[in-house]
Amino acid sequence: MQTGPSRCDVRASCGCRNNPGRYYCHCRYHRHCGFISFDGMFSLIPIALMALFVMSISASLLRDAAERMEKQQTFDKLVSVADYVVKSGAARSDGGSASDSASGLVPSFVSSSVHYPNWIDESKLDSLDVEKLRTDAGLASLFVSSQRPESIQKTSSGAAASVCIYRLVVFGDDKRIGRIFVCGG
Amino acid sequence: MQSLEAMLSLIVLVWCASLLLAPLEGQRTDDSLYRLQLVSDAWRVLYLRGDFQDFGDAKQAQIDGDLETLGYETALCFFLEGTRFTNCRGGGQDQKHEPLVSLHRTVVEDGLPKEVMFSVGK
Repeated sequence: MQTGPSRCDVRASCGCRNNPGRYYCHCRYHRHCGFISFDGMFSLIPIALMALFVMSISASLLRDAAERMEKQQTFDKLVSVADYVVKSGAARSDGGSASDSASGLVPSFVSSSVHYPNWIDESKLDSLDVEKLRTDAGLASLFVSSQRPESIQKTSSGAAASVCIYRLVVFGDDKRIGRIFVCGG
Repeated sequence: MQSLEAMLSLIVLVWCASLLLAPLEGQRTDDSLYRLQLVSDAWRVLYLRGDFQDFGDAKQAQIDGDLETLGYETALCFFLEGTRFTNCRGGGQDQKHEPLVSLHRTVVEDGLPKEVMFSVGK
């Protein structure tokens, strides 16, 4: 039974002898621990550099993609909030009373009032529950106003708004043209 | 020789990565829905202000005035193609202004339906 050296053996040369009256075999192990060829070393360095480069590029791409997706999500949320404000939340409405539901003509879960999209009722705009909108939309900050955002630097939650969009609307009975600004982040 | 090959591979890799990264850098937020809403808003504002009642040349001053106001608010150009109504005079939309989005709408002119294209451009 042959038992070789434990770890570093890489080669073994074996030979057998047939001495008179005795036949035996012998293996000789050559140890090469700690040997690194220069050629291998000079090949490994660029490979390691390439691996490092690929990893850093991947990390950069992932980070950029995450930032872009977050920005797109924020923008889409603001677009949705602005659409709600313009079409329902702050839109002028007529009719729609409790008697409609009581009469059974209109189900209780359906609003019977008629909304006029893009025709803004300024009192409804002022009383809009921005905080609830912000929470429902999952935004860190939200600002909804008919004033330009430059005049109001801070949002309702105190944080500076990062993205701003506007919608074209009319205000009041004279239907003067204006804008509604929705900012958030 | 192997180290030279590895260096060349690294250079090729850097070149390929820069080519791949270049289009990613230029990607912007997709605002196509918002643009569509904006042009719909402009159309809705004109409608609410009664610009499409008795639509025609007689309404030119009113429609142009409203388009001017919209242009002032947004710094955009509005065109009612098929008519002369716009807030950006001097050349057609295709010649001088970058089109953003268009809507096909029908208006009633002299009692007859007429299809117009309402466009917004920069």
